[in-house]
Amino acid sequence: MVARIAWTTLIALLANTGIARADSFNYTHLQPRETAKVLAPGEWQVGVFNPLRLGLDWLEVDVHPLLLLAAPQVDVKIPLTASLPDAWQWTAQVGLGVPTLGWRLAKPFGLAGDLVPSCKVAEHAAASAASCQRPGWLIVPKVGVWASREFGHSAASDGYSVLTLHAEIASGFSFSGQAAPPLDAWAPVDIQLAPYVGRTRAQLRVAYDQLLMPWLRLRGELGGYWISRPVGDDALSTLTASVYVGLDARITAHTRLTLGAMAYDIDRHQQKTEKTSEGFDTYTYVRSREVWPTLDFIWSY
Amino acid sequence: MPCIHVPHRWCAVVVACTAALACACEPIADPQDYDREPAPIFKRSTLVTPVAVSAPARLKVVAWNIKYGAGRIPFWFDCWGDRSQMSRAEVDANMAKLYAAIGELDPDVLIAEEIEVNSRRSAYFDMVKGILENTNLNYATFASTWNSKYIASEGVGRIHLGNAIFSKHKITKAERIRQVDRTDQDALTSMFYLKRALGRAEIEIKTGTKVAIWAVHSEAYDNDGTKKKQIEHIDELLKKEPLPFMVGGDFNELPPIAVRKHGFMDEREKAVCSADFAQPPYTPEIMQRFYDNYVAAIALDRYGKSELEQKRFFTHSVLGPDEVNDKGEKGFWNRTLDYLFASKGTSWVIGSTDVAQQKGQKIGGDNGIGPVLTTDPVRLSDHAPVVGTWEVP
Repeated sequence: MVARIAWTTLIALLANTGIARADSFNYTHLQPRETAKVLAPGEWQVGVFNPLRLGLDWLEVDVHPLLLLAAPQVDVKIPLTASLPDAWQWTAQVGLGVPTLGWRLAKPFGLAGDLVPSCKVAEHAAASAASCQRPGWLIVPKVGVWASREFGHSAASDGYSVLTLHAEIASGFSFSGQAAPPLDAWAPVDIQLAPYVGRTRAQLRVAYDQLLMPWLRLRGELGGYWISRPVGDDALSTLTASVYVGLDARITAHTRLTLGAMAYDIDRHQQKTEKTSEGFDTYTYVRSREVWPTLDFIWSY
Repeated sequence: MPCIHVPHRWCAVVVACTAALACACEPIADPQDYDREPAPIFKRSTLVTPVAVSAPARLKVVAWNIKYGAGRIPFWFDCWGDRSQMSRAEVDANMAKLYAAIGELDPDVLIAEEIEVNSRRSAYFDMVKGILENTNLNYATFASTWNSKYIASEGVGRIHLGNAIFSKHKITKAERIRQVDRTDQDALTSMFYLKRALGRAEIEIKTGTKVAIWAVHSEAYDNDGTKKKQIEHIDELLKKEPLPFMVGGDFNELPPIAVRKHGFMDEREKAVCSADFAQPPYTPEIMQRFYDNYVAAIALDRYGKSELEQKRFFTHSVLGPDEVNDKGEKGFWNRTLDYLFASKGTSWVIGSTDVAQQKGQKIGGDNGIGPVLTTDPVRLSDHAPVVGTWEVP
């Protein structure tokens, strides 16, 4: 049980740290993260929890080493316009994931027995397979667009601030096995993994990344998410909102520490007891609030 | 401090949003830090007028572990299936059968264990409300025993489970009373594990006459004597009960004269699942004090001396009649874990007490007062209802 909780918490942190990307490289000022700008050819970056980003000619490829076996996902960012000061830069994003093994394998490679059933009885006796409710084989395509506008460029330095918009839609398409129910898990886990159980997730995020000092950046972000529910299931609201505030601090020329907090407003069927006019009790539902720390150490070359 | 260099409007938005979101977080698991506290009391939307209580007062009582409306769906911890969640349609259908069975037994008081009000596995169905609105019971209290936002084990997710007491007559006071926790679990497991509690309700059966009803669901899987401590605790509390009382529920323990104490037909011959839900050895002697101190609905002399005789009063089986064990034998009730006891000075109406095991059975036996069951309890839960008419002078 302890291992399950620890593993799931790690997944929650992983799910949260998609926001904590960074660029250090050989710039005099710490560069912003999660923008429309892609890495230059030959540049790469990786975090403890963050994906490996590779700069290639005209595009950037993101893969996550920790999840490569269980839930391989490749994202490609393709610039549509040039990156110019005081102008909007547009970048397209496409991705594809195949998460099924992650639902089939137990720790440390997967989440079977934690977020989804381990189906030990079905594995013992094929006749019991009908009672196994874990996701079947599915693919998760993703499309998105990034738009960033940089502010505060000067001829004397490479420091600047940046406003970024990110819209994305990802959907899981199942082609074998049972349709898995929604996870209804903690907010960062649920949002990150929703397409991996066959749901459709649309998200819109607005972020402002402010240079505070040459070695320190502040980032604030507002996010809105829509996650589909199975037909006929209206138990939960499909809408979620988030706020992120965090700092990036350069540690060495090629490393940075990211530290922040992500707060969510989400419907997780939280109940509270209220008194009726007659003095009896009744249950009502309220939206849930969750606050999660984000932390990562990132290398950039 | 970082806001010094940030545009003021942006800073204000971030601070306001963060403060708003951070102020109302739900605990990841209800720590249930109490000893004895008031429990919520719920009322049917439209009251059904109960039959006036005569003298001596007679109350028909049913104690039933309803397995969270899962019927005979094979859940993962029983190790005969892998299910971790039901659809709303499944829960609706199972609950409809439970309403029919409760309606047929027509209790004045229903003690229900493993009843859920907001769990992912039971499609977030409020079973307290469901039973209130679909039977002739008017009032209910719910003693929460397991309330966690998310259980990261086999996809269980949110869970809110407990013991409920329903009554046709008004519940004037309700409490939940904490029982000791297991000590054979690590701290994290214990945080997310259910916290056993008793429900207690005071019911005004007629003007100026109150009785107390106690709902029990003792530990099942401990290896450290927790269940023994819990059952002793119940006995100690009942000795201090000032009102005429009735206690019932799933004690998770065999009667002291049970013939079969291990090797039940619904156990796996070879381990397939986690040892967390393996049945530890029973300790039936700890139930003797209840037979000594209180009036059992089904007395030990009636319970019988052979397994064949005792089978008539078995209340639990993991496997139902539509499932088979490793030997291909169909499931049926194979042990007694559920009981009704009344305070000394009160009694049970002859021919009224029984275990409602299956369709076609006459409650109370051949000379019993009935009814003949048209519903089939063996397909509605992994526990059978224990029934009886309690007489209070």
